[in-house]
Amino acid sequence: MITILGGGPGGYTAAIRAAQLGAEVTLIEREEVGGTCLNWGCVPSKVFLKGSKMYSQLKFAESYGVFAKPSPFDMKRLGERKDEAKQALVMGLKNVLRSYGVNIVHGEGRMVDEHTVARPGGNIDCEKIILATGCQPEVPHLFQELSVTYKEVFQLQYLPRSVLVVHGGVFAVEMAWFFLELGSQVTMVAGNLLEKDFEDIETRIASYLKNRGVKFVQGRIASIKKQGEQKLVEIGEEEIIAEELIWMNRKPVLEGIPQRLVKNGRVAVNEYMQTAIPTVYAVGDITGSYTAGDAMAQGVVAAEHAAGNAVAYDYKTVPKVLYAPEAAVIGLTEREASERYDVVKGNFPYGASGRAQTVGALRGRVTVLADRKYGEILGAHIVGKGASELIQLIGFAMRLEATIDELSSLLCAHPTMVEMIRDAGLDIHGNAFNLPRK
Amino acid sequence: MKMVMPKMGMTMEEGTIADWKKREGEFVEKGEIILEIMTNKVNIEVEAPASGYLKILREVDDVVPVGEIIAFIEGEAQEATGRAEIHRGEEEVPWKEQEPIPVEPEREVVKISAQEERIPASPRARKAADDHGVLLKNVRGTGPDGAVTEGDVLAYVGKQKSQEAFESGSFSVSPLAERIAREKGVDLSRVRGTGLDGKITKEDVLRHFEEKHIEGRERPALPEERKEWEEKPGIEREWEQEKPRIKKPSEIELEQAIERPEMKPEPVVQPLPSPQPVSRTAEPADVAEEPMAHGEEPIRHEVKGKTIPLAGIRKLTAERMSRSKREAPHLTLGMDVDMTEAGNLKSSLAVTYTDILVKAVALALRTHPQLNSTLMENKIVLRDTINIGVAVARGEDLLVPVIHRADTLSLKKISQVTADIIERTRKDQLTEQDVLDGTFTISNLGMYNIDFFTPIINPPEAAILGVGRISPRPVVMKNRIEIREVATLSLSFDHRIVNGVPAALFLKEVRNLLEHPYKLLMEEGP
Repeated sequence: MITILGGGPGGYTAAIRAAQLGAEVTLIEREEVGGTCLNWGCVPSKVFLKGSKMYSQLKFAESYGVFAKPSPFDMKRLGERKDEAKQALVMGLKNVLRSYGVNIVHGEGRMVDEHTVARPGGNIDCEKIILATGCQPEVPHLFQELSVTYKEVFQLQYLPRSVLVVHGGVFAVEMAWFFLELGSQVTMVAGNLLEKDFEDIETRIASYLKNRGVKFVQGRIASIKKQGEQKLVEIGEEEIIAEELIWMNRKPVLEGIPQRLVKNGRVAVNEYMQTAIPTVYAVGDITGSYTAGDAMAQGVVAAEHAAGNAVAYDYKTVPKVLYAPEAAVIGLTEREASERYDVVKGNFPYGASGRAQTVGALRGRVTVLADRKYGEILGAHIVGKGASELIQLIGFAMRLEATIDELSSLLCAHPTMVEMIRDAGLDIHGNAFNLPRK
Repeated sequence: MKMVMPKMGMTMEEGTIADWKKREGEFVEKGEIILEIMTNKVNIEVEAPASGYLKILREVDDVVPVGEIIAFIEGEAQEATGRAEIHRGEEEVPWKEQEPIPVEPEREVVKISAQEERIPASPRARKAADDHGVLLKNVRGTGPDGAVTEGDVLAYVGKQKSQEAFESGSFSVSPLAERIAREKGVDLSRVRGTGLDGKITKEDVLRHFEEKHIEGRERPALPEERKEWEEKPGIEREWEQEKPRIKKPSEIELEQAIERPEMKPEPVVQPLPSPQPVSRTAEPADVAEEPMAHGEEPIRHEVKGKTIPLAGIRKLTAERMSRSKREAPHLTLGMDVDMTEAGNLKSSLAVTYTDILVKAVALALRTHPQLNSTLMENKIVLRDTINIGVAVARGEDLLVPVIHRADTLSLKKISQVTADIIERTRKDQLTEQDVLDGTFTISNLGMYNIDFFTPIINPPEAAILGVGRISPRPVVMKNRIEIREVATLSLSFDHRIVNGVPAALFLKEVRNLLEHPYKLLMEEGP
C-alpha cells in the first residue's frame, strides 16, 4: 500500500509506475490532478507561446509570400484554447490513473507519521509514503495585492502593454518572451536569468532577449505603488512603470512535512528519493528541482524503490528545456566537464544546416561535449529552433552509453535538423560534412 | 621512409615522445604535425617528412636518442601492420584476389612467419601470455620495434573474451563500457552488469577495474561527503551548494575503491608500460644520493603507498640530475654577500634581486670563462655566449628558462626579459628557444627561507649558483657591529673543468659586483 501526496507530474508518474508494479496506490490531491505542470505551468505556457508565436510570425510570413494583417490580440480566446488543452490532458490523465486502479482522493492530505496519512474522512495506513506536494507562488505579503502570480497570469483577460517580470528561470523567460512576441514592453528583474544547468548558454539567451527589447534591472524591489491603471515599481535607483507585475517566484509546499526531513528549505533525499525516513520518499519541486521532467524521472525512481527495485536517479541524463527562445541542455556543463575530464567539443551553427535554412531558423548552435580518451558523451547544449526535441536524441545516446562516434555515425534523412547533432559530433575531429575543412 | 628523432638543439642528445598526434596506420600528409617531442623540458611539434601511412615504432614516453628511428611513413601498399594475418587466413575469399598488387601480401606473410621464431616481447608480456594461454604471434605489439607489451596481451585477452561472450550472447555491454574495457584490458565476461537486463555499463567496468587493482594500494580516508552518507542514510543531497550529485548504486558499492570513477576516469596507478621499467636510469653503481633517484629493483616491491608514474618532466629531471651527479664531481663553495646596496638599487630601479644576480653573474663570467664552459669528451669548450638560466618552479615541476647573452643586456632589459620569461614559464607558454643553450644557471630558494644549499649542476654546464635568503644579520664593519642585509651564495662547479681557486675568485667577483651594484650600471653594453 503506497500513499502519494500530490497529483502533479512527480506524484501521478509515481502512482502509475507503482500501480504497474502491483502496488495498491492512493493519490491525494487538494487542487487539480496534473499539478502545476498541467494547470499553471508547462501546459498553459506552451499554449500561450504557440499563440504568441503565430502572432509574431505574421511579420515574417511576408518573406514567404504570405501577407496578412494581425487583428488585435485576443487574450480571452487564447485562455479558452489553453483551457481546452488543459481539460483534455487532465481528463486523459484521470482515465489513465483510474485504468490502473489508482484511488484518487480530492482534498487535503497530511503525513501523520511514517505509516499514516490523514485525509478528509479518516486516516490511511500505508507501508510507503511518497511526498510530491509541489510548489506554490511566493510573493512578499506587502506586494501581493498589486502583483500577478505565475498562476494568475494565465487568467489575464487583456493584453498588458507593459509588464515587469520578477525572478529568473526558464518559466520566467518564457513568460517574458510571450509578452515580447505580442509587442508588449518587457522589463525583467532577476539575479540569475536562468538555472545553473543553463550556464553555457545564458549569455546567448540574454542577448536574444536584449535584442528583442527586454530591459534588465538589478536589485531588490523597494516599493510598488498604484499610478492610475499602472504600477510604479521602485527597484534600487530605478523606477519602472508597468501595467502588470508578474511574480514568478515559487517555493516548495512543506506544510505538514516533518521538520527533520527538511534541509535548507527542501526535503533532502538520496539517489533513490528516500528521505531521512526510509519508508518515506520525496519527489519533484519539494526536492529543489522545479522541472516536470525531473519530477517524472524521480517519481519513477521512488515508485521502483518502494516496490523493491533499486534503480537510481540519473540526474545528468534528464534534459532541461527552455521553450522560448528555444534552447536545451543535458549532462555536464563545460565547466563541470572540464573539472573531471579531458574535454573535446564539437559545434555546429544553424546557419550551415540545410533544414534550418529552409525554415528560416538561422540563429542557433549545437554544441556537444565528449571525453577525449573514451569518447564518452558528457553533455550538450543547443540554442535554436527544435532544441527541445533535438536534445532528446543526445539524452538517448547518453542513456545507452553510446560514445561520440556512435552518435556521429547516425544516418539521417536530408534535410533534417537532426543532421546538426551528427555534424556537431563529427566536428570534434573536424569532420563535419557541412562545415569547411578545419 | 624512416623518421628519426630530430636534433633540435646543440645540446640535445635524446628526446621523449610526448604525444602522437596521429594514430598507427593513419594517413599523414607531408608537413602535417604528427608528433610532439619533449626535450630540455619543452615540447616541440614535428611535421611529417613525407606523405603516407604512419607506422609507429616508439610509444609515448619513450626516450629515444637523436637519430634513432621512431616511425616509418610508408606508401599505400604496406599501410596496415596487422593486415598480413588477415590475408593469410582469407586468401581464398574471392574479393581479396582483386587486390591490385598480389605480391605485397605474399611478402608480408613471409615476414610474419619469420617473426614467429622470435617475437619481440617484454618478460611481463611473456608471463601474461603464458598465464592466459595466448600465442604471442597473435598479439599486435605496440612497444618499441613492435614489441609486444603486457598491456597488448591483456587488451588482446579482453577483446577475445568479450568476443566469445558476445558470440555466445551471454551478456550485453554499452559501447562506452566496451571501449573502456578494451583500453584497460578488462575481461568483460567477469564484469557484473547493473544496467537494463544486466547490461554492462561504464560504471561496472570501472568498478571491476578498480577492484582488480586495489591490491598494493593503501585505502585512503573516504571523502567527507561519503562519510556523511554512511552516518545518515537517507540524507544526502545538498541543493544549495551545487548541482545535486546523485550517487549511483555502483558508486556506493565502490566504497572500497580509491577514487570515484565519476570524478576521475583514469586510476592513478596505471599498469606500467612494461618494455621500459623505471630502472632504466638507475645504474647499479650509482649511489642514490638524490631524492629523485628512484629505488632499485629489490626495494620497489616493498614500497607501499600512492604511486606517481615517473613520466614527462619528472622523468627528465630524474635522468638529468642523476647524470649530472654521476658524471660531474661536484664541489660547492659558500660565501656571504652583503646585499644592502643591491637592495637599494632594487628599490630605486624597480628591478628584482634575480635581475641583479643575473647581471652580476653574467659580468663575472666574462672575466672567468672557465665557469662558462662545457666539457666535451677530451676538451673543454669555453662558450662564446653567456646565457643565464634561471630555475623557475611551475607547480611540482622545475623549469630553467634562459636569458640569452645576458652580459650584453642592460639591467633594465634583463628585468623585462626575466619578467616575461618567468610569466610564460608559469603559464606554460615557453618555446624551445627559451630553454635552449643555457651556459650557467642560477637557482634561488631564498623566498622559501632557505639559507644555504648545494645545487646540482645543470648539464652540460660547468657550474650553478645557489642563492639563499636575504636576511638582516649582524656584520662587523670598521670594528663596529652593524645590521646588514646578507645572503649566502653557494657555487657548485664541475671539478673536472675548474679548480677550487678560480671558482673562489669567480665567486668573489660576483660578491664584489653585488656589494657595489652601481658597477652593474656602468658596465652596460657590450
